[in-house]
Amino acid sequence: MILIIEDEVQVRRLLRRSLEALGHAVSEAEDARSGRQAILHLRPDVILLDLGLPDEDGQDLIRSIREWCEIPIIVLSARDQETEKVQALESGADDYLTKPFSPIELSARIKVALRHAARTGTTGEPVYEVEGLTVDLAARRVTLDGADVHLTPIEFKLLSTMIRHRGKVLTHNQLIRDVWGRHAPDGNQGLRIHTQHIREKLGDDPLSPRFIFTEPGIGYRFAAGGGEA
Amino acid sequence: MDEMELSIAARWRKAFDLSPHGLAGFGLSALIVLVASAAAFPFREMTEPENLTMVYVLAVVFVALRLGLAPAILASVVSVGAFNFLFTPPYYSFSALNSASYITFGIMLVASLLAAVLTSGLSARLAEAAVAQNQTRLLLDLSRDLSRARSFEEVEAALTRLLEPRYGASLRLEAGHDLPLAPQWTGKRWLQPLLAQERALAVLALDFADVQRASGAEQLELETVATLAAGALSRIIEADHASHAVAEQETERLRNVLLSSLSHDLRTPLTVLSGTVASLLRMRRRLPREAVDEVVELQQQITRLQKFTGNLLKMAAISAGQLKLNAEPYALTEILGAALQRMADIRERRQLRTAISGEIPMVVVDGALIEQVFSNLIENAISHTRENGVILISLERAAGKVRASVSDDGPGLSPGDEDVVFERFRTGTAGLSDRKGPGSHGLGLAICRGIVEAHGGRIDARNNPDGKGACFSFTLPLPKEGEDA
Repeated sequence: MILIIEDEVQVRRLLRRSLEALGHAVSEAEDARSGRQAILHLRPDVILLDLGLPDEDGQDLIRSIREWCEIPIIVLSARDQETEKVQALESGADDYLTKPFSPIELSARIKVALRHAARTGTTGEPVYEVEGLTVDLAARRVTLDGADVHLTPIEFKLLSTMIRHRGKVLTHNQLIRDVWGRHAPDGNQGLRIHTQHIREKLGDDPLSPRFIFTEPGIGYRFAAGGGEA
Repeated sequence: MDEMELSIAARWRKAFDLSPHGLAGFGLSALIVLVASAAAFPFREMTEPENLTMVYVLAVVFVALRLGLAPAILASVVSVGAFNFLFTPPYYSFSALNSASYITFGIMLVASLLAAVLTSGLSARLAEAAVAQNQTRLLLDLSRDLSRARSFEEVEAALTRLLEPRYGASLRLEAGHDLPLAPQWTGKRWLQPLLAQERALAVLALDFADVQRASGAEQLELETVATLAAGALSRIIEADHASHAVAEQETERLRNVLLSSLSHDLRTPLTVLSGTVASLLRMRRRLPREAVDEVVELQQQITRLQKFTGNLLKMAAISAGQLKLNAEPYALTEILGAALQRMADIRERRQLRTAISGEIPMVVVDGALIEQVFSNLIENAISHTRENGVILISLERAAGKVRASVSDDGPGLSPGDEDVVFERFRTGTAGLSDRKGPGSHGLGLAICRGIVEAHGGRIDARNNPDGKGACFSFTLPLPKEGEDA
């Protein structure tokens, strides 16, 4: 079941129609207060949250939801300001949709969010497979179309972080924190260079990427792998 | 109030006055000695002559008090002569009977000189004290008035009110460039700069009726006045700056609120419209054929409107000067890649090719904005080419910068269009007006220029050397050694 927290009634109606057409059950809330209650009582699988709610700052609401539950949050932002999206992601949102969004985009984001929600609580898969690329976390082995790929420890760590969250956008800061911890020696520059090296080793052309997609101003998104659901 | 009417210089000149008026002072002092002699004369036979010396000392003190030191010295000497002549036997002669009389003359001379010096010193100090008190009063009044002044004009008014009567000159406060840094005369005009941090904020100009010499005391006083006025002026200037800054902040806040509510109010209905049309199209099989065509047309127009709204809002942000760069290191290829991904839907029927020459160093840019530059340039090229047209996007390194170019095989630019295409609401006159796509509303290129220039780069347009099509290229500066990341 998908919960829509959005103050504009027309946008709620549009989302309901689109989501019901995709076969989802939908529930609506028009502000942060009723949204919180709905989360408590209905335990939705995914939350679609508008950042411009009348009664509370969207960023605060994300942080407070994250204090007590892990339900995936997809942020709806009417503003095209990348910093706002980055802030929402770092507050605990899982993904974002910029208005106007296409129904295809919406369904792709929901699919990724549901898959991540399903995996929460399980011990995690030791082996990931996306478009001919396999990453074996336990054996620390990476193969591309059957051939071994040699990565440095940092590159392996970066790739496994991306692939664990595949289909989801990760901000620069989230990646740096995950891979290097609090004290990243060369920050963004280091992240760019290592990503570039991984791309070279995977034969991934940044002009038409197969695995690692750049979201300018925000971060990276690893290919979701269309085959899975 | 007579202190107010006399300038300080006049007060000092008076002490050493040798003008006809001053010479009258000497005559007057002799006259006073004569009066004293006449007053003492009736007592000549009643008392010892020594007792009458007191009358003369009294006269000298009076002269010193009223006429100053020089007449008092004259009065002392004349007094001794008169006393000798009139009161010591033999009378009416300057000789004396006994030597004791000479001692009397000596003591009398010393006593009256002493009295003259002490008295005139006292009166000079009294006068000085009056001047000082008067000056303190002036500076107090001035600093009180200046502290109330809220503008340049009010400072000038306070100075005029207090200084014009004091100096008998007309006063003006002048601001501007190339003000003198040291006080000086120019003709009959005295210029006193008001300095703050070794910079002249304004100049105090005093126009005298004729050329005068300013005494040291006057110069000192004017300097103090100038310091006070300069303090008041710099306080006013600072307050002015501060209130400007507050006003600017407020304007910017309003602008932000306006832009973001405009953005929300425009985009929400467009989102709903495009979503509704998309769900209508999902049931196209149940719709009559003509209706499907109408809905498709509707969808195209909504897409155009969305694009235009986005551009309009971006342009508003750029024009408002509130483009904030969120600069991070990027490989330009990944930004171009993201732009190409996002254009997958509309690039159909055009051949998009890329050419990367050699290693392209990283640039420090706002990734989302540079992606928009690529998107706008590619959209512009799409709208100026026919089906199956070729659009070539190339990246290359140049000295200290990276150059990106988007060239097409359309009709190219008309002569003179090279510069104006980047102006708002202009489209190339040679554009295929019947084939205008979503990007051809004349804002896309202006946005590109705004973004590129905000990054310290340059953008230009020209026709391809072979005369086929136009080429838009922009440069981005490379970070200097040691300051990357």
